[in-house]
Amino acid sequence: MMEIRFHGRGGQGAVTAAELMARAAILDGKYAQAFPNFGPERRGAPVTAFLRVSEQPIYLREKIESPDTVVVLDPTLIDLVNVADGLKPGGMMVMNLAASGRGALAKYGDQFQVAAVDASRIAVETIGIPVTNTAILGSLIKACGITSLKTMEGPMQRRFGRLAAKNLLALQRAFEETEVPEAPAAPSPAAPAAGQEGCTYAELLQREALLVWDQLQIGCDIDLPGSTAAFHTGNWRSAGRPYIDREKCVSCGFCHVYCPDLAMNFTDDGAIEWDHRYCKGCGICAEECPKGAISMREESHEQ
Amino acid sequence: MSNRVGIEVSIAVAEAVGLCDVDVVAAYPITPQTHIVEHLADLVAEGKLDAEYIAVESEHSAISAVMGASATGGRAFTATASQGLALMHEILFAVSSLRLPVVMAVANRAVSAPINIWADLSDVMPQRDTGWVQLFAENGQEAYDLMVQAFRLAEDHRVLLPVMVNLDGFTLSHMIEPITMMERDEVRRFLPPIEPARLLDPDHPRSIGPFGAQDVYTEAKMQQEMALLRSEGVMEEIWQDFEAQFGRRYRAVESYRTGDAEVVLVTMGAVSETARAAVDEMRDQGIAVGLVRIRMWRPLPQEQLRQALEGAKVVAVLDRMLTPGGTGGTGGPVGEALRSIFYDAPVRPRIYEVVAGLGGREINRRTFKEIVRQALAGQEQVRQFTLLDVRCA
Ligand code: SF4
Ligand code: SF4
Repeated sequence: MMEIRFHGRGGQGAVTAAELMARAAILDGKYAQAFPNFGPERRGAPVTAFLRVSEQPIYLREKIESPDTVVVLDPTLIDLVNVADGLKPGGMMVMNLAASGRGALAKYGDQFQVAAVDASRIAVETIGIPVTNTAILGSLIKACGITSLKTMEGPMQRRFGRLAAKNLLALQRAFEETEVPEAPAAPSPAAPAAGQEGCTYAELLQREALLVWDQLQIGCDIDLPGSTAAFHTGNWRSAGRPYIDREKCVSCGFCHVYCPDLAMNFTDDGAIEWDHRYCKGCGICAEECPKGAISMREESHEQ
Repeated sequence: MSNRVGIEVSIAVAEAVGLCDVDVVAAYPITPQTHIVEHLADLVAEGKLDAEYIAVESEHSAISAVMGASATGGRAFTATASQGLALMHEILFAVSSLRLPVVMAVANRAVSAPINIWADLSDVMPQRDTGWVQLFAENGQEAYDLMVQAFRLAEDHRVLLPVMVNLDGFTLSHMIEPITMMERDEVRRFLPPIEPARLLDPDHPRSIGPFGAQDVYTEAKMQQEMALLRSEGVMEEIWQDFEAQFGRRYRAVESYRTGDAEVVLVTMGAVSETARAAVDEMRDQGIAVGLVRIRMWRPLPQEQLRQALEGAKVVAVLDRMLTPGGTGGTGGPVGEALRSIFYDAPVRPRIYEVVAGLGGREINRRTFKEIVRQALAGQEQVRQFTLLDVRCA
């Protein structure tokens, strides 16, 4: 059995990627399971999805703790979450990463095999938008087999209809452009390394420093006013941010009212200012600004 | 000086709530609870009770309003019955999970259909697992006293849970009977002003009822469960204090003539007085019968129940609600509980389970004598319980 964990952001299609792969494997006559990490759905927030593929029936309905392979759809996640968490020694990492960013992979090189592809560029060139979930599957197939490009056609057709051709092209291109390490050190699923077998509940408590039941506030209250301020929804932003044209802005405050995360604030002199910590890049402010003063553009470091 | 008066039990219950200096009452009238909330509305309107009376548009709103009032630190009360309690169901969980010391009176009544306004326990039993403390009154004095005790239990910082006081619709709620009334200053001595453990206060903002994911939900439930289990001991303390001050003694489980009893009846609520009279008459005829009454249903005083029943050969339990489709001897929730309690006991009594009194069908002394006769005769039970008096061809 092969176990794969997908890392993406809400809305990038990590769940769909796992699903498409499972459908293809099932068409091949295998057994497969695809499922998300169930929870509240938030566009842009880091999400995980899981895939199991096996020649034998699968009798597991638990999360994957020690994957054989991880697939990373979004390069910005590498700094945000431990994408290699629990990955078996010698396991495969299929990463969307531009050639220029590959330095970031050095830290994985010793322990894991890394198959990198610039899926974002391929997606833009084939589909027209940087949605990488279909491209990355081409890389996954190249790196791990599982199914064939041919089998993927059916599920992709069903899922994307008239957009299937473009997505199939992305799949094909990524397959061709993925560099797979020469001599893969065969991972041995039979012998997971120490400390990777999942941990006891007591260890989990230790690791996550969670409160035990009688330390919780009465009724599970939270007595820190405005504690959500510590929750930086700006982490969810990946595909561009709002830029304000100060010439056009009349300080009407619509963007401030409509912003779901209060990431637009008034400065002392009445101007509107953007707060990168909480802006999740949803684009609502640009949609609602009556003066067309806000445009959503790819994030750059100068404004 | 005795304040012993003849009074309708519903009115007495409302008077007791008034003596507790409640801050907020929110209720929607429904038979047979109506007289309780009407009288409270009168007390507020006449200026005898300094409380906010919120006339809401449904029971769902009633319980929601008292939940909010309680979260702001007020002493809050509501009352309902039957479909009204069913409509509250969703919010009952929130009140107990948020650990809010709301007190509610339930004038027990059957649930539809067919539409039926008379007493049985099919309204409250489906609320068994909502996390409330659940008490059952036997007579007017007890219903009256329990209201005052309920606030003290709910507000005790070792508990902080809502309390439901059940009184049978009509057969108890609408009865005129003698009740020894308390004085306001006596009640104030017994029940100190509410000291909220925490409250919704703009000057000290906090979140009550936040999101709790997989990593905390279990611990939240554990905290709540420990408080509910602890309430049994706290209630016992309160009952001792009550006895010291008012001279009336209450226990979670009451035993009557069980010492040498071969068969012990188990009952809850107002039918228990009739059962006691039936026990006396059967004793006069030489039948070794006793009675155990459950006053505290949640938390279930398991150890007290086991001890109260352990000598009996046969335990004849009366359930006044049918658990539809239950198998293996679960005619109703009380029978099910007793079977569970004795499952691990080295010596188990035979449990003879009877479901009766549905939709207010008369339960009288003959009923209890018939139950005891069947139980002692070792009568075969078709589905391990007997639906008493049901008309068959
Ligand atoms: S894109 Fe605009 S509306 Fe959306 S979070 Fe950012 S500032 Fe707020
Ligand atoms: S909505 Fe547009 S015009 Fe109004 S304050 Fe925001 S940026 Fe300025």
